Amino acid sequence: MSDTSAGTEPDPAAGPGRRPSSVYGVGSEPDARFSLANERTALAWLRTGLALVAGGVALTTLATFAVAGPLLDVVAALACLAGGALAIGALVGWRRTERALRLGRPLPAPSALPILVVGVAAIAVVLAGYAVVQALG
Amino acid sequence: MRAVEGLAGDPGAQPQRTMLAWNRTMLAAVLGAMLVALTAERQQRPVIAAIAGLAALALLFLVLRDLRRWRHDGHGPWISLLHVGIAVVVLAGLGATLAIAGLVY
Repeated sequence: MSDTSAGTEPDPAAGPGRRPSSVYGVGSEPDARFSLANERTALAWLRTGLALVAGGVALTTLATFAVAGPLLDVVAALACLAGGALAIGALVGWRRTERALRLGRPLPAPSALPILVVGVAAIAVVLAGYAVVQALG
Repeated sequence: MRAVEGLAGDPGAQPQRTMLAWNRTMLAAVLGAMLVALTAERQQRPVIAAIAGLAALALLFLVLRDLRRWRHDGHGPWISLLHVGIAVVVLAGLGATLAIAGLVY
């Protein structure tokens, strides 16, 4: 990646039609492998969001015949909203990383990761508490 | 397959890996939409099921169209990423609606 330290002038090969211009208007073309890896990372985040949504939807089915249905519905709604938030985070993260790659700057930290860890842990604790209450009661 | 300059004989097979990641993501998105549609149908909410099915169709159409443009003029992946992201947000909204509807009724 020897050509990214050149500076911040726009890449003439980028062309005016390449969107978003806030990404492709700055810096110079990075190594294609890094751009592709960034793209795969964004896709992996999108799939993580989809997995959370799918888990939440599956929980709504469970909520229709489980004893603690309302609790499961709350967890399901939270999981779905977290999945949507991760999808937005995937797009924002792709833009930030692509900009940093083009400008030759240090890569930004994955900002969605702490939220994901806290969210999954919270859902796990609520479901574990539910299981314990069910087993005792 | 998208043409990427400077990757002739690349041992990491980066374009292939990226295209496979796209395949996985599209498969997951369409299966997710199907799960939402079937769940909504089972809970007698045909409107949500219809929106989920239409979202899957629209996503497939848009991304296939993006792919053709991509090959011709070498645009970045942003538009396709945006379309998949919007689809995930729509599915998330439908799932949350199912959960809240189950809570209220």
